[in-house]
Amino acid sequence: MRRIGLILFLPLMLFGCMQSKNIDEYAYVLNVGVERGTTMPYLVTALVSVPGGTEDTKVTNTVITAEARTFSEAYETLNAIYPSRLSFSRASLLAIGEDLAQSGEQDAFLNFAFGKPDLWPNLRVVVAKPPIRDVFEGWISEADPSLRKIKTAVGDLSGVSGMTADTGYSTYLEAIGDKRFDVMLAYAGENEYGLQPDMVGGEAYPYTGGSLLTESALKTSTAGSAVFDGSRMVGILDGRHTMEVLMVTGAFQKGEMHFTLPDGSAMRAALYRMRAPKIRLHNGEASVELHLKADVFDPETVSMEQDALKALIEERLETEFSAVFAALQRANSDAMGFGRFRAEQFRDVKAWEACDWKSEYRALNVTFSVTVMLSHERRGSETE
Amino acid sequence: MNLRIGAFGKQESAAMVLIAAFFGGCFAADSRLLFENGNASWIIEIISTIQALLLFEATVWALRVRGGNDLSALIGDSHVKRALAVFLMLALLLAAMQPLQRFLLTMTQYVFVESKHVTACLYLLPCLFLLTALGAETLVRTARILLPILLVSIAAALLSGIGQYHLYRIHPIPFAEPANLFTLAGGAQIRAAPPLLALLCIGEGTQDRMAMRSAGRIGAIAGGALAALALFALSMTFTYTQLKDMPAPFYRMLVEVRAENPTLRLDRAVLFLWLGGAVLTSAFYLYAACVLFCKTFRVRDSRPVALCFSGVAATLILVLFYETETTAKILEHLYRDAWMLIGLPFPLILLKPRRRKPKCAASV
Repeated sequence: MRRIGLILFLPLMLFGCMQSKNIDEYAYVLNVGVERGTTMPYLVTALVSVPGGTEDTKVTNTVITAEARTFSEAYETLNAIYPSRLSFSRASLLAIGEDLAQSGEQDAFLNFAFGKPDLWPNLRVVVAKPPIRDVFEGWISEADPSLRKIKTAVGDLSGVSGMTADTGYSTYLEAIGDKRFDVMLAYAGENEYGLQPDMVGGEAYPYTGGSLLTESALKTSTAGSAVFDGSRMVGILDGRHTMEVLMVTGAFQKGEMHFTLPDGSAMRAALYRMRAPKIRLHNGEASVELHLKADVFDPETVSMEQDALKALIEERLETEFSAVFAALQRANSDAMGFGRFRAEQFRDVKAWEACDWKSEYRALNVTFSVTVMLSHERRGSETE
Repeated sequence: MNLRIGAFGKQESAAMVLIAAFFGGCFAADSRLLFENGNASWIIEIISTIQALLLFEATVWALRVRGGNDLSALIGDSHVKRALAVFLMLALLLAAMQPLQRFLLTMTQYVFVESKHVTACLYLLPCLFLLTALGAETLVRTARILLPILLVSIAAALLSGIGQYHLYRIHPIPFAEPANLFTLAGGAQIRAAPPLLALLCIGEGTQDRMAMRSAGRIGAIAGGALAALALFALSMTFTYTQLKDMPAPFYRMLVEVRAENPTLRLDRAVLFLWLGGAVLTSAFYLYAACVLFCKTFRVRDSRPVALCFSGVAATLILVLFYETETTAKILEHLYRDAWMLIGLPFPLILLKPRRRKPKCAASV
């Protein structure tokens, strides 16, 4: 028994530090951004948090930048220009500049091995309207010293409203390397920027939810999504269209939509996913079946019969899904992920790798079928 | 003889085989080779476990026919079979190296980022030698104690990643050529067979041959099933193109969890628990190789051999860490072709020795 005790005790010694360093020597990078540089190909921006800052906040947040050719070079330069040793192990957000994303040149820069620097693959990835320094500074607020809002802006907004895409770096890499789908990233920008063209048509303020400009404590917002064709960003979708893409990919849980009724009045409904979308793909034809539950807000103000209202919502959604798909197809972006179902038809890796899915995608016909279950039992909103 | 085999029950030996089968299945493989033909690692694990069990059953049957409780009884005094036994020792030595090498890679790449592998290896070497020198009873009883904690950690790891699982990632499953799957499973014998081979080497310590057989069956089936389940979970987390480039896919699976997840820091704790399991597995294989060596070549004490084998294993791990073209080639051959060290000599050892005809009495 003593021997067993000794054996169990010995591995505990492994928990010791090998090269101990005082924790005060470190400053933690919370956000990393990369955009096109002026003197070097890339401009890297880091939002650094230093514990033990001012008396009120106990945390100091600051933004530093360095131009570089590679990530390692940027890592070394940022370390050289900052008084503390920078640790990337707590970084939770990677922002790609819109200019860089549109050229598709960010992959060469992001092709770094995890561990050096110690970035974790569970980073969230967003596309930000340059300069990223301004976007990061817009997130700094005395009311939110831990920058928690950044996480809630992307993660919670995606889960609660479906108005933005919550994409991790691992998913981004999967989309780039595996070519089964194209990635859709949350779109971040300063509130003061103007209207952006939406892929489907019209203009929107994607980063503020697609409807109106705001004045708030945080000058940066995140909503809508940037859509990619492989590594290259090909357009922007506003919150509503993002929600519709997420409904098809299966990532949608709940959200809110406005519908214009035939008499010109507006109706709001909270939509919930009832079951996972059913997608069938065969000989260049795809069918998508979606089952949603719609809770109508203020039903007494709606002057339509239930069946007619149900048919109207279904018809509107089907039309919008087709329009969003057509816009994505024009941009050669499989953000709805039909390629995932194409890969299931292969029983040989080499045959799948030889398949030119994107060529097939350009000729793909998709029919959308939406079934809505109407309900007037409104659930409590997140605010409540 | 001071081989330090001792005596132990069915539960202990089954626990040891289970741990070894799980770590062999999940942590010993080279990702590039394992996933080069698609995301079928979990199917390969099931087939290779069945193949290893068939080999084990054949050996137990041979032991029953010829009498004996462990593998050395089948080797006997034949010089040819002794030479073949050396191949099995080498196989056990390589099987001991593989999980440790993968874990050291994980530790230096993800945990102790600023440390060199030599430093990390020096922490493991005393544990490895001590466990190997203390013998079979210590090893299997430690396995019995460690097993519940390991099972909890595996379950926690698999459950924490459940939000990341997507079934589409397992495709395309390479069912077009089923024969190819059997070939790949045969190649995986360097990972699937050693738990049972090691149990056969220390069979003397089990209550009897039947206890050894049922411990082997339970351990291999449970360990193989658990490894297949974990590999299936891994296949739903990453596509084969991603997995091919991951040196430590299971650790990557652990760190995939989101920052909001309360199990975020699970990865380090689980990694060190798994490291304990990997050290135990390696020590088990090294000790089994020691016993086989001692019994084959009539060495009376296992401890000097244990020290020697642990040193050789650790040295090889360190040498292979230096990334040169030669070491890369050696490593590739070790992972790809090492099955031959088991697949070729084992059936020959099972063959019944030809009885020598008694010399005719000298004519009067």
